[in-house]
Amino acid sequence: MRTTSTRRSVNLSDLVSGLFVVLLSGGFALEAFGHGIGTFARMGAGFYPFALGAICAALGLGIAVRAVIAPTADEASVRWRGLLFICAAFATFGLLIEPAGLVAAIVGSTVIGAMADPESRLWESLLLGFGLSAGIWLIFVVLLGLSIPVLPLVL
Amino acid sequence: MDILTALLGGFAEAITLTNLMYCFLGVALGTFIGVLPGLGAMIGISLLLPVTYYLEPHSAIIMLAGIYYGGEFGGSIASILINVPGTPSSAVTCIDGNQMTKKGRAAVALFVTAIASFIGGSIGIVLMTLFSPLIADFALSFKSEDYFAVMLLGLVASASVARGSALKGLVAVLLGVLVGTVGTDVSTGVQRFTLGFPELVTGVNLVILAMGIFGLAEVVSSAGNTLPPSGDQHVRMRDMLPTRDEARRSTGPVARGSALGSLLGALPGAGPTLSAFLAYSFEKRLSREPEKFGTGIVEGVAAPESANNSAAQTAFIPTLTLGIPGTATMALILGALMIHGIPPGPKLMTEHADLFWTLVASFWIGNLFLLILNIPLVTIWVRLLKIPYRLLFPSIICFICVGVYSVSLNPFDIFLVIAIGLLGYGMRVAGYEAAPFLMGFILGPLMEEYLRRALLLGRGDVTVLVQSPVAAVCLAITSLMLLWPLVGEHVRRLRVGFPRP
Repeated sequence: MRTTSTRRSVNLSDLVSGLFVVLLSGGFALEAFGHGIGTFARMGAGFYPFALGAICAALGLGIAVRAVIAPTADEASVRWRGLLFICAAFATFGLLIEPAGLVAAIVGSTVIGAMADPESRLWESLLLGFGLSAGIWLIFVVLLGLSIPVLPLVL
Repeated sequence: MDILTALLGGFAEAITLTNLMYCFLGVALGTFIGVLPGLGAMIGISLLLPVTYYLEPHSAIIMLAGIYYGGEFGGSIASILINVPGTPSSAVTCIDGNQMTKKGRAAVALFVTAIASFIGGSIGIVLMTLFSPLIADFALSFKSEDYFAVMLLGLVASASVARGSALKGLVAVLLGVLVGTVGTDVSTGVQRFTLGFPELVTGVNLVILAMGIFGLAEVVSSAGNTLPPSGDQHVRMRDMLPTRDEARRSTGPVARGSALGSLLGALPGAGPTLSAFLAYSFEKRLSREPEKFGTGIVEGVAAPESANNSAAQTAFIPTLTLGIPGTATMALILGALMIHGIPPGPKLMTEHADLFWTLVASFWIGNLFLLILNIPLVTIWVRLLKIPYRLLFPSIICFICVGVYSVSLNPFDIFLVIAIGLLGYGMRVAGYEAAPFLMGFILGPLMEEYLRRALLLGRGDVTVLVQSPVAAVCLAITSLMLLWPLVGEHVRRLRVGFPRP
């Protein structure tokens, strides 16, 4: 997706990211306020994050405002396909590692992750997955002695 | 002569079989990662951080540091052969390096690069050996407010040097600091920003943060990429030697590049990339035939490659003597020290003197390994450029997952990587750099403690922050850097754009 804005329109990625920064750091500042600001001599737990969250929110607002009143060309492009399959690959690993063990988690995340590239082929990623399982088993379980379940618990 | 005995002691430790092995592993992996475009030292160090939990601190740091300077060596190979920089700091090497390849002189370019890198690296190490003890001595008198001010300077510098908008650089630093405050506050015991997750009580683990922000985000950006074909480059040993004239013409650029790189590498925020760019443009300006730059001359690879390698070495000076990293990679090395229970700061030079000198000795050994890896064995790396990306990135995903899971055997951490990775990818797409974010994350919590201590001892008087000369100077420079973009952006609009990496 490539959104090339012409002049006089809005720099969408700056606007969205600026507002997101305001929300995120504003959230930090808000919770920090509840932890107690304290005094200069005795800084409370909230002092530092409140001050920085507030500054950061102000800067984020600045970015958002600038995106509307003085927009530059928006060059942001998101790779949705890659993002989707790669996050799914991580999630697959996280979901499979404990119930199904190392081999299943690695093969699963390799096959799903490889789909991020449209040119990938299933047999190739299956082969890669089993190869990686062997390599990772050797490094982490045999050499480093990590106690990861290798095969499904039922076996 | 104190330095000499200490250094000899360092060599005695670095030359043990275990440490030699980890040093070799580090530089070899660094070269590997450096050669492959899209993968930098950051992702390499992140991937190996969890493994270092199992090593003793000396071996761990030797290996991680090796990845870093090995990456600087390897980065130029892709620049020269396929005109794609393997690491950002070797981007400028593409200009003349790839022209030399087109003329059929790739082997000479690779040879000159390896020698220039070795000389640059060596000069950096000598300076590190000589100056580190002096700086650490000076810094022993630092008070809390001085640390606070120097770290603030480092953070603002990293934000200002960032590509693109300085405003976004500052936001990236601040977000990093905020994420760094997640978890139990050490002085008050209050649990901050845990959102009710017990896993977050101890804060966000450095490994998870680095894997998300550099690992996941980098993989998403590079998945689906294809590299330009490297053609059938036959790089043979006997073609490598430069002519006598080329050797003579390279000496000046190497000397000046090393000097410039050593100086800039030690400054906060500058680092290898800026050094390489400046060394190249400096040589071009100095040359009697500036029009020849860009047509494939050895000066154009010798200057930047000596500069980025010397900068990579001197970057360790502020990191190890003051505990203040100049670049994100150094911040990661600092984080690795903290994982091993070694508090950063000038006391590292006295309390962990053996670690420092072992590391320095390992740099010499590592640079020798790199010379061997890059001259007789260069054909191996050339072949690496033929590995298709679609096999590479699923492998990286698996290594990230297993590495993260191995830290605390909790699948929660994998989902935290996804969350941080989404934040990191969003930042990358919208033009916020990851390096200042990581520096904020690592330095932020330390700064909070120093600020709290300084204000406590000053009985709440804020002027305590400017009473010490070191702190006052640092805060003054920081304010100048913060104010400059307000004025500078208007000045820049009037000028022609400066070439950006």
